[in-house]
Parts: sequence; structure tokens; C-alpha cells
Amino acid sequence: MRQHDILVECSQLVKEYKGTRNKPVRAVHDLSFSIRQGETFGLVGESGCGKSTLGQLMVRLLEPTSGTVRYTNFQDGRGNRKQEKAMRKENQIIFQDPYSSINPRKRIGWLVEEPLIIHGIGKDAQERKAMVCSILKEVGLDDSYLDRWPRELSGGQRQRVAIAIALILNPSFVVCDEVVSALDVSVQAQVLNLLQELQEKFGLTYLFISHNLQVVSYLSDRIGVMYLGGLVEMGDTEQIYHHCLHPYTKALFSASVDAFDSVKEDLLLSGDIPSPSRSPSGCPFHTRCISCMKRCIEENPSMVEVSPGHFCACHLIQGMNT
Amino acid sequence: MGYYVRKILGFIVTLFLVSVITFLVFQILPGDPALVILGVDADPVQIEALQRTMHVDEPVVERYVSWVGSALHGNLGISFRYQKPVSGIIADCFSVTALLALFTLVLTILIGLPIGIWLAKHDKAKYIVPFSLVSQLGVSIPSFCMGILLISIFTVKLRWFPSLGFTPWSQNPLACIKGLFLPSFSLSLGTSAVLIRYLRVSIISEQKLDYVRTARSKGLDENTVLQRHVLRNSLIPVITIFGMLVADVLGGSIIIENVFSLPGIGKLIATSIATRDLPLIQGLVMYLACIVVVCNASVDLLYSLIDPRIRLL
Amino acid sequence: MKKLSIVVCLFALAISSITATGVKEVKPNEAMVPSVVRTNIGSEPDSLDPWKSAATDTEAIFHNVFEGLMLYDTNGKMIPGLAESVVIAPDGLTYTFKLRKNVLFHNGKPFDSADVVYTYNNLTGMSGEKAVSSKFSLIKNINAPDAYTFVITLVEPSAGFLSLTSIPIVPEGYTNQAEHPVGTGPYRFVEYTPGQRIVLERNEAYYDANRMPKIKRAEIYIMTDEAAIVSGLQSGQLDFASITAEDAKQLSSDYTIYNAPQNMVQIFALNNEDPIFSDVRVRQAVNYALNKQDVIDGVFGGYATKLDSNFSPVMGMYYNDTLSGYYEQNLAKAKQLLLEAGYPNGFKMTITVPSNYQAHIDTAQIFAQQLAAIGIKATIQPIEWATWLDQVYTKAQYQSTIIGLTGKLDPDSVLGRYTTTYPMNFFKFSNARYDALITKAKVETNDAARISMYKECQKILTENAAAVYVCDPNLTVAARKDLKGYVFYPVGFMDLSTLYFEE
Repeated sequence: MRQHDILVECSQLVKEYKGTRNKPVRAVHDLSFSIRQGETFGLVGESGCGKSTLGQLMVRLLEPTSGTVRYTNFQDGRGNRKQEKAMRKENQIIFQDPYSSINPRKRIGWLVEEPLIIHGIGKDAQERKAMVCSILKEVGLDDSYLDRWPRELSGGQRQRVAIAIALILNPSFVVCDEVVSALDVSVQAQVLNLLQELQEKFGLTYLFISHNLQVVSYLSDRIGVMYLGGLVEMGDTEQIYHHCLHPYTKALFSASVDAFDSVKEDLLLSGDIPSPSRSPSGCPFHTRCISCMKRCIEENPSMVEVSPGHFCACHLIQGMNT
Repeated sequence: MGYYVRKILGFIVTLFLVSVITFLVFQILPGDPALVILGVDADPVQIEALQRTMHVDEPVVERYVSWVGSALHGNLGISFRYQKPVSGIIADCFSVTALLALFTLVLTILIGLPIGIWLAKHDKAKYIVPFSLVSQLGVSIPSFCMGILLISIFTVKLRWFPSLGFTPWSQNPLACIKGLFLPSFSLSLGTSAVLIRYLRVSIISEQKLDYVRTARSKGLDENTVLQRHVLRNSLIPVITIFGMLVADVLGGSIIIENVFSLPGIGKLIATSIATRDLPLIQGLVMYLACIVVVCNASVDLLYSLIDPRIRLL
Repeated sequence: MKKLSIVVCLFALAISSITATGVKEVKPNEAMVPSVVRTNIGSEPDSLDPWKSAATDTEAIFHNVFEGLMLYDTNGKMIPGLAESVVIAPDGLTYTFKLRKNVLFHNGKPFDSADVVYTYNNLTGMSGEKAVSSKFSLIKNINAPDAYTFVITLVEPSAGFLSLTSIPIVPEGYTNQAEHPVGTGPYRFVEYTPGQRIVLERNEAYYDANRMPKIKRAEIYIMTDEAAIVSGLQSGQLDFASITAEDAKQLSSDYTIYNAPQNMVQIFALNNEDPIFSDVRVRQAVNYALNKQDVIDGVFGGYATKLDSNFSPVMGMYYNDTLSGYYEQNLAKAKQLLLEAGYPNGFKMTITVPSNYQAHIDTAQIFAQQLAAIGIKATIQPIEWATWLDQVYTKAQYQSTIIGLTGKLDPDSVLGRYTTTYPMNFFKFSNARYDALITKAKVETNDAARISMYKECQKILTENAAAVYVCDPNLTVAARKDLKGYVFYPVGFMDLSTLYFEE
């Protein structure tokens, strides 16, 4: 069974961007959760809800406006170049679009080797090359790719390269940010399977970000549902998949399972996601919620543990409990 | 194959049209070259003698045909004004203008590249706003004003640089650089301002791409990311304006060469038009057309060198 | 990034080293007397070959390289040059020149009568080639009885002929003058780089110890831009240069300013064949309407001589001083004349000005304002020099124009422009009595009679208001304080041999 030690923990994470007329845009708003060693944590939500920002905050590609991200497996030292480098080595990220996420004007071999050079791994070029070849083999690409240009590769192959780049440093934590959404459906499954195999083999911990609830539930041990910069529901895959409570999660399921089922049609999301720069008062979801009550407009519900490990932020649930 | 054939055909047609137009314009323009050269004190016999050497009394079509004939053999004729072969005069002046243009481009890069990169890295209003003001000045102050200003500071007051005359590189490289520094510096201010703007925008938009984040997550620091990944890719759109800058520099040289008394193409153009030196102007027009074509071709070539994805075919 | 900063550092280093050495080099060396004098020429030389050249600027430089049988002195008097002496026969037809011995051309060839014969054969067209100049058509015959005697026989007596003998003598058979001029003058030609400079060096073998140059080398830079000339002076790259009156004011504290009439007449020409200006009363009215002093003060900073004749007082004995003040500004008289001519309310006119002469444009603006006072609305039309030469000078297709005509020492070559048959008589002045006087004066050998004829000619021009004679703008030269010996000639001649640096 998986260990339950916590690997990454973030608390009261806030990330604001400068918006127009100095009105800050809240991409991530007061968000706390933790990821356990060896698990796959799925993060789901519509585009624009801040999940990519959260992904980058988790590997410190972005600095939070406030709040903290803490790693348990090594000493955290901000501003210390050496420790920052060590942090980079442990935490990796794979992006959505393999067409833009690798430099189009460098050869594959160079791109995969670069992290080794940066971190001074490998005695010489020969040893590094051997390491590059072996990781390429792991992601299903042979030596012939070493001298190829990214433009010669298909999307699936590029994403494999991106995975190789992320894994060559042997990290413990990898953020997979929409890694399959830009790929053909036929390739998606291959890449997902590859990620799963690699997780087993290298004992990786994943933060798996996607807008597709189906993909997330297929891969994840636990799932967090994100809406307008905050989590609205979090729990084991089982719990979310079968007993989801939040109207937003329900709507997501109905959108992805069978959008043409007339019975569930009323659960479909309608209306646009509100702008993060003018988030509504009360529950952020109340503008689109089919079960919206007066209380929802006035008061923002807080996260409540409904059953062990299953959290939800909704007045409906709290109403039932109290 | 098709690319080169198209380019060469277009080039030939351009040269032909340009030469016909120049010839025609000079039939309409009033002014007798012999009289312009000799002035109002000339003896009529002298004017007549000079006119004979110019063959201006022959019919237009005949003159044009004979010009084309000898031009095809590489002979551009004899300048009215200087009584020397046109090709030799142009070659002499070209060496000056080419050096001036080269210096200007080098200065443009030396000024524009670091500032453009720095501004892209420090993308904040407190840096950008003063820069935009300065660059607006750089673009809008005509280079000759800048030239005169620089002369009054560096030549008249400080006496660091000469303001007139040209020393060929082969004779004394140091004196050559000294002589060309102020003119090329005054030309390069405007061009660097343009370069900085383009480069800054290009770097900033390039930095937003995912591969830059990938590079960061590999553990690279910002400077290395910029140098190793971003810079080269952001230079591609900048190359386009480089062709434009070359045209700018050549245009600006016409005035700046007069301000600094440099014997370059720009000064030659001014003199040859003022004196109605048709053979020389024809030669210059041909030369400028070639320059434009060569510049465009080299921009294309540069593209394909920097970005292997672009093919010339 | 590192590479880039290294490049920048290297560049900064290079610049600083350049400027460091620059300070050393350009620093004016007070201790040492310079061996080079540097000045400018306002336009590219038209030709280095004296037979093909006509531009005043070119002549001014090459008078240092070439010499004629006779030379000018600073008063415009003819003095012996390559000829030691000249004897004119009583009939005024035969000129016998005794030539100087021990003169060498710059290429080492000794000078003798064969060179003079060769030169005059070509000038007159007696060599079988086309004549080089039309001015020598009155030569009937030339011969050289011995190696140092040269005799010219004229068709008819000509008082002005002697001044023509200042034309350069060139070595026999030498045909490369256009590339490398060879003369006998105190300076020899070294190099000419088109668009850049002319370099002359002292002729160490010069025959006249009195005119032996003190400065070894002269560099004459071709510079058209006025601002560039001034900064050239200020930065110590030019030792002297002719400048505008306006710049002279600015430079007067640090430089010696030389100022003298240059024998140029600034003319506001009125096309005498124009429907309006064909009436002499209108031309006179224009003369009365103008105040020339305003131009002298406003355009030439006071450095000009007011004129009412087609001659500058520099012309000495030929100048008709009785005309001075003939047309003083008198608006009442001007209006009266216009009324008589049938223009009580004035008229519209165009002043065509060559755009490369700022002084003429400024003058036109002052005149346009003054003309408005008598109801004449003048429009200024600046045109390019080449177009001016074509439209105005050659074809006389204009109403009025402003131009400066450089004077010649021979009065005929100035006044001859107004004769009816002169091909470039762009004034379109035509007066039978005038024509007759000019023809008669040419052959008159009695000096007094000739002078009075030329004075009469000037009077005719002024009385008939052939044009408005404005002023003779001074030639203004700024020279660094230790450069001495600058002298003015009433012709275009920048005499380098008299210059010296004070120790």
C-alpha cells in the first residue's frame, strides 16, 4: 500500500496578477492542500480556473503572492542558489503543448542532455549521452532521435521528449499540466500509460492537472476540484467519482459523461465562468449554480470534511449536516 | 530553383525600368550639365567643348541604346563631372559608405542589443517610460541635427574626433575608425532605438512561450535561459527590420556624409543630381538597385541560417 | 550574456583608446610652427585642366599652381610673370614678351618659348585643333624669334588684351593636365581626391625668392556645408576659410577676421523684355522702392559695399563714382513712376532665386517686403541651381532674379554681358548707343578715352535701370590667430604663398 507521508504541502496559497487599472487578478485564492508521497493527485477544473498557475506554484516556477509551498524531502532554502537548484532537480513539470514546450531550434539530444549539464551530472559527454539514451528508451524513443529536430517529431513523440527532459534528473515530484489534451485521442492513452509505468518504476509523485474529469479519475488516487482559484471539493477518486457532493463537480461529470443525455441536461453548466478579477461575493459558484440559495450570494462556504478524507465547500451540504 | 529564377528575373526587370525612368527624368529636368559644371563665367567655346565630350546633342533613344550596350559590357561610361569612369568613382565612394554603414550597424547592435535585452528583463514602467521618451527622441531627431550636435561637443569642445575628411582603412585603421565614429554614431541612434523596441517586444513575447518555462524548470537561471534559449529565437523577427535598417542607414548617409564631409555615395548622389551628371546617376541608380536586391536576399539567407525551418525554395 | 558584456567592454576600451590618442594628435601644437595650412573650397573643382576650367573657385586655388606671362598684383594691376617684361608697339598691335630664364615646370622640364607657342597655338586654335577659348580670336599671329622671346600680333588694337595673358602657360606636349596638372607656380599639385581634398606642396625650385611660399604644404578640403566649415575651424582642422558674415560674428573673438570687397556685384535683375519691366519707368520705380542698406545690414551683417553701378569700387579707375547714390529710396517718386507707367495699384511679380544661395533668398525676402510698400506683390520662387542656369541664365525665361556675378579685371568681360549680341545676355538689355560704346572701347588705345567710355556705359546701365545693382558683399575670411599674411585680390585668387604662421 502507498505511504501516507506528505511530500508537498501548500497552505493559504495566493497568487495575484496585475490586472488592468491596477485591479489584481486572483488566479489562486487561499488554497491549502497536500500531496502524499507516491500518489497521483488529480486537479480538475475548467480552463481559466487557475489550475495551471497552481501547478507552476507547486514547482516554484512562480512565486506565490502569499502563503507557502513546502517540500518535506529536502531542506528548503529560498534565495540560496544551491538549494534552489536542488529543488529544481527534485521537482519537474511537463506542459500541455509539446509544440511550444520544447525549444524548436535545438536538437532532441541536446534538449534532453541540458539538465544534466546544468546540474553537473555525469562525468563526461559520453556518460551523459548514455543517460540520455537510456531515458529516451524509457519513454519509448530510440537513439536515432538524438540528432533530430523537434519539427520532425509528432505531438506524441514530442510529449515523450518532454517527459524524458523532466525525468532525466530523477525527480521525486512531477507536475503534469494537461499533458495529453493537445494530443490525438489515440495517442492520449499511450502517454497516460507511459506516465503510469514510469511512476511505478521511479516511484514518482504526480500532480496531474486536467480539465477532463474522466482522464483524471482514470489516473488519480485523489482528486481536487478547482473553481475560480479555490478548491470546492477534494477527496479520494472513489469518493469523488461515485459520491460527489458539490453542484460544480456534478456539473463537470454530467458534461463529460454524456452531454446528450436529456435527463441530466439541467445539470449542464450554463453561463460563462466569472472573471477572476471580479469574483462574485458569497460562494464563487453561485452565479451558475442551479441550487443557488440566498445564503450562497451572501456568504462564502468553507471547506468541511463530509466524510473522512472527503472535503466539500457548499452551503447545501452544510445545511444537511447541521 | 524557382525562387532564384524569380528573384533574378525580377531583378533584371527592375534594373531595366529604373534605368529607363532615370533616363527619361533627365530629359525632362532642365539644366545643361556643361553649364552647371563650368558656371556663369565660362567661355562659350569651353561649354561647347565640354558638351561634345558628353554627347548630349545625340537623340535620346540612340544614347540610351548605346548606354545599355556598354553597360552590358560592364562599362557604365564616363562621368560628366569628374571626367573619369563611373564604375571607378562609385567603387571609391562605395568603400566609404560601406564602411560607414558597417560601423553604423555594428554600433546599432552594440547599443541596441544590450539595452533591448536589459529592458526586456526589466519589464517595468519605471524603466520603459523613460526609455520610450528617449527613443522617441532618437527616432525623431534627424541624424544630421544629431551630427551637428555631436560635432559641437566631441569635435569643437573636446577635440576627440575629427569632423571632416576620411582616411581609408588600409592607410590607417585607427584614423579610419575615428573619422567614421561620429557619423556612424549619429546614424546609429535612430536605428538602435528601432532595434531596441523590436528586440524588447520580441524577447518578451518569446519569454511567454512554454519552452522557456521548461528551460527554467530544468534549473537554469534567468540569464542563461535568455542567452541559451530565448535570444536566438527572438532575433528572427528582428532580422526583418535589419533589412529596413540598412535602407535607413543608406538614406541617412546622404545627409550625414555632407555634414561630415565624407566622400561617400550619399555625397556623390547629391553632387551628381545637382550637376546633371547623367552617366554617374545612371550608375548610382543601378548600384542602389543592386544594393536593395542584395540586402533583401541576405535577409532571406539570414532567416534560413537562424531558423533552419525556413527554406529558400 | 557574458560574451555580450565582454564585447561591450572591449568596445568601450577601443573608444577610450581612440579618444585618448585623439587628444594627443589633434591638440594644437603651440610650440611648433605647422608646416601645413588647411582650408576649404566651396565646390568640387570643375576641371584640373586650366583650359577646361572656368569656375572661379577652381581658379582661385590653381592660380597657385599655374602662371601666365603676366600676373595680377593685389590692386588688379598687371605685373610681369613668366615674362620678365613686355613691350607694346606704338600701333598697339604687336606685343613682345621677354621670357624669364631658369624657370622649371613642376615636372622638371625647363620653361622656354616653345611652351608659350604651344599654349597660344592651342588657345587660338592655330594648332589645327579647335580653339580652347574664344577670347583669343583677335590674335592674328604668334611667333618665337628665340628661346626667350615671344611675339603676339593682334588683328586690331585691344586695350584689354594684356589682362588675357594671365592665362596659364603649360608645358609643351603635356596632355595629362586633367589628371595631374603641371605648371610653374609657387605650389605644385600633389593629389586630388574627388569629394575630399586637393593637396599642394611648395615648389622648391620656384624662381622668385620673394614669392617663395613659407608653408610647405596646403590641403584644401572640398566642403559645401557652412556648418561643417565653421566646426572645421573651431575644431582646429581648418586653419582658415571663407565664411558667411553671420558666422564671422560668432568667430570674431577667437579668430582673425579678414574682410574685403571681392569684386562681385549682387544684381536684382529685371527681365527687360518682360511686358511689365520693358517700361524703363517701372524698372526705375523698383530701383527707387528699394533700400539696399537693409540688405547689407540684414543679409551681409554690414560687410558689403553699396552699389549703384555694375562695377564694384574695386575696379578702381574704371569705376564710375558719380553714380553713387543715384537711386536712394524714394517711395513717392517710385509711386509716381508707377502711376506714369500705368500701374497706379502696382502689380504682381515673381522673383526667381537659385536655392543654393541663401544670401540671395534672404535678399529676395527683404526686397519683396519693400516692394509691397508701392503695391508690388512679389512672390519668391526658389529653384535649383542647374534649373536656374537653364531657365534664367541661358533661356531668359524669368521675370526677375537675384544673382551675384563675379567681377573680372577686364571691364569688357563684365559690361559685355549687356550687349545685344551677347549670347547669355539674360538681362535682355538692348541699347544701340551702349553696344557702340562697348565696341569702340575695345579697340581704343588711349587709356583715358577708354576709361571714360566704360564710365559712360555704367551710366547708361544705371540711368536705364537695366537692373538693380545691390552691393558687393565682402569676402569674409576667418583665420586662426597665428596665421598671418592673408591678402585679397580683386579677382578670384587665394594666394597661399603669402601665408605664414607666426612663431
